[in-house]
This record gives sequence, structure tokens and C-alpha cells, in this order.
Amino acid sequence: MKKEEFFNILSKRLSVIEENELNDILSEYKQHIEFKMQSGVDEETAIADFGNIDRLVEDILSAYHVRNDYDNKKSKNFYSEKSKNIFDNFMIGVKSICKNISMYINSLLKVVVNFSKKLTNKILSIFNKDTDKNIQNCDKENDLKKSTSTSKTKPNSIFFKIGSKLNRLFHFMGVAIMRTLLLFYNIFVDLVGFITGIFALISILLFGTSLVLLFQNFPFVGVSIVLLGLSMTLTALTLLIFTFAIKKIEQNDIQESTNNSETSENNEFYGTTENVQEEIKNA
Amino acid sequence: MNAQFKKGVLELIVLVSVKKKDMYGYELVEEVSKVIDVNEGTIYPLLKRLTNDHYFETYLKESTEGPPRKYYHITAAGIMYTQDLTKEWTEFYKKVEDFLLRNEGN
Repeated sequence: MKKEEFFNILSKRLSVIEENELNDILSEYKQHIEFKMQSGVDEETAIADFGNIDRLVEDILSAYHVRNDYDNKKSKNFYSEKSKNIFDNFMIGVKSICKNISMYINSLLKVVVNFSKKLTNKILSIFNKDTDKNIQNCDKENDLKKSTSTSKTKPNSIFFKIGSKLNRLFHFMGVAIMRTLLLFYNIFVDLVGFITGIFALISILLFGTSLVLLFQNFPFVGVSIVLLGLSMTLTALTLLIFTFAIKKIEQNDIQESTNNSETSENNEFYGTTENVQEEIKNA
Repeated sequence: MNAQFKKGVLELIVLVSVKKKDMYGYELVEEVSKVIDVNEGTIYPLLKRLTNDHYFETYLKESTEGPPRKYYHITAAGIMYTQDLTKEWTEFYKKVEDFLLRNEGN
């Protein structure tokens, strides 16, 4: 056995010992080997003089009052940790699948929202053109006649107001439709989850009663097994269904989009109309 | 020599050696090897145990060649423990000796 191998094995199997202490032991063995080599013994026989490495490890551990089978225990724990990890990974996988499904639904809803937004924007753009024309008309009329301009722009300003109000109405309707759709969807999901949950509870109850009957020597083995499976699957299903409910993300998105669009469009519309009106008044 | 005999006596030999004079690991191995043929693997863990049980103290001392050496020094508790062990050993030795003499005499 070479030096590196010897020290690797020792440091691995004595890992329970505090690092300073371990380094202390290893440095002492290193020194011993060096002394031996100075006296004309080669590396491998110097290490072989330490005897069986398993015995050496046992002796060192017993000097610290540590159980010799510490290593074996560790390996047993390793298996339980592994199985735990598998279960954790499975749960993570299920969660990610649920997340993906809900994300997909989210994106579908977003597409619908965007479509409705585009529709309203198109309608708005028609009104925008009208407003531009009106502004130009106003300017011309201002140049031509100052006294009669106020009376002539009145119907136009009313038209703007109707337009902007229509725009807001469209927007509000879109949002309202989305919200109601979301509400109905969530109600549906919650309802389904609730129903399966009730069934799960009932099956658990039945499982319990059948178990009691089973221990009173009734032929209920098959029934109890079926009910156990049913209760487990139903509880799992209810949990799965509740993950489908869309809560915060979608609402935030709608709010953000509405806020942005409202503020920007309000500025455009009211800004232009008010400016025009002010100009007219000033004139 | 029987391994079980060795193990029992080794502790006493190490204690007595260090009581006489502070020693470093390799020096001690050589000292013990004069009395009994023992492998190094059993001496170092024994030194560690005696240190952990506060029978020995250790200190580092520079050497003319190589890295500083770790010296073992016996404590008061170590001296008392050595005395107890020596007493036990002599009693045990006497009893065995008597027994052997008596039986060989027959």
C-alpha cells in the first residue's frame, strides 16, 4: 500500500473525528513513516508495519470511545436517505407537472386577455383618427373664426367624451368577462375538489369501518383493500385538483394590464380633449 | 508472544517509559519494541487514548531535522494510574508465579 492510499483510507474512515484531531493523528503517522524510511525501510513495508488497517481504525476509534461499527451504521442510514430522496423527487415531479398544467392554462387565459385588448385597441384607434381630424378642424376654425368656435366644438367634445367612455366601457367589459370566467373556473375547480374530497373522506370512513369488521372475522379483506386504495387515490386527486386553481398570478396580470392601459389611454384621450377645450376657452 | 498478554502489558510499558522521560511517538515505539515485539498500529491509538483520558499531555518541540516532534509527558493522574497498574501487575504476576511454582512442584 502506498502512502496516499493509506492516508486516504484513514481520513475517510476516521471522518467522525474532529478535523484538528484527525490532522494531528495523520501528521504523527506521516512522521513515523518518514522516520522509518530514514532508517532504511521502504514506504510499503513501513506502512505494512502498522498491521491491518481495519484493526488500526478500530483502535483509533476506541481511543475516542466511538463505536467501531460506526461505519456500518452510516451505510445503513445511507439507504434510508436514498429512499427518502426518491420519494422527495417523486413529489417534486408531481408538483412540477401540476405547475406546468396551471401555467398552460394561465398562458391560454393571457392569450384571450391579449386578444380582447387588441380588439378594444382597434376600436379605439378608429376613435383616435376621428379625434385627430377634429383637432385639425378645431385649429382651422380657430384661425378662421374666434367667436363661433366655441359653439361649433361643443358637439365634437361630446363626441370625444362618448368615445372615451365607450373605450373605458369596452375595457371594463373585457376585464369583467375575464374576471367572471376566472371566478367560474375557480368555482368549478374548487367544487370538483370539494366533491372528490368528500368522497375521499367517505371512503376513509368506510375503510375504517370495514377494518373494524375485518378484525371481527368478517370476509371484508377485499373490500377494505379496495377502500384503502380508493381513499388514497381520492385524497391524492383532491390535492391535485386544488393545485389547478389559479389564484394570484392571473389576477395580478389583469390588474397590471388594466392599470397600464387605463392610465396610458386616459392620458391620451383626456389630455388631448382637455387641451383642446382649454385652448378654445383661452381663445 | 501471546497477543492478549501483549495488549495488557503494553499500556504499562508505555506509561512507565513516558514517566521516566518525555518521548515522541517514534522514540516510544522503538523503546517499547526493545521489550515486546509490537506493531506500530497499536501504540499510536494507545497514546491517543491515554492522552484523551488525561494521563498524558502533549507538546511540540522543534527538532534539528524535519518538522517539530510531538512529545508525550505524563500527568499527575498518569503517575497515579501507573502506580495502580504496577501494583495490579505485580500482584497478578505473583499469583500466577505462585500458582505455576506450586503446580510444577507436584
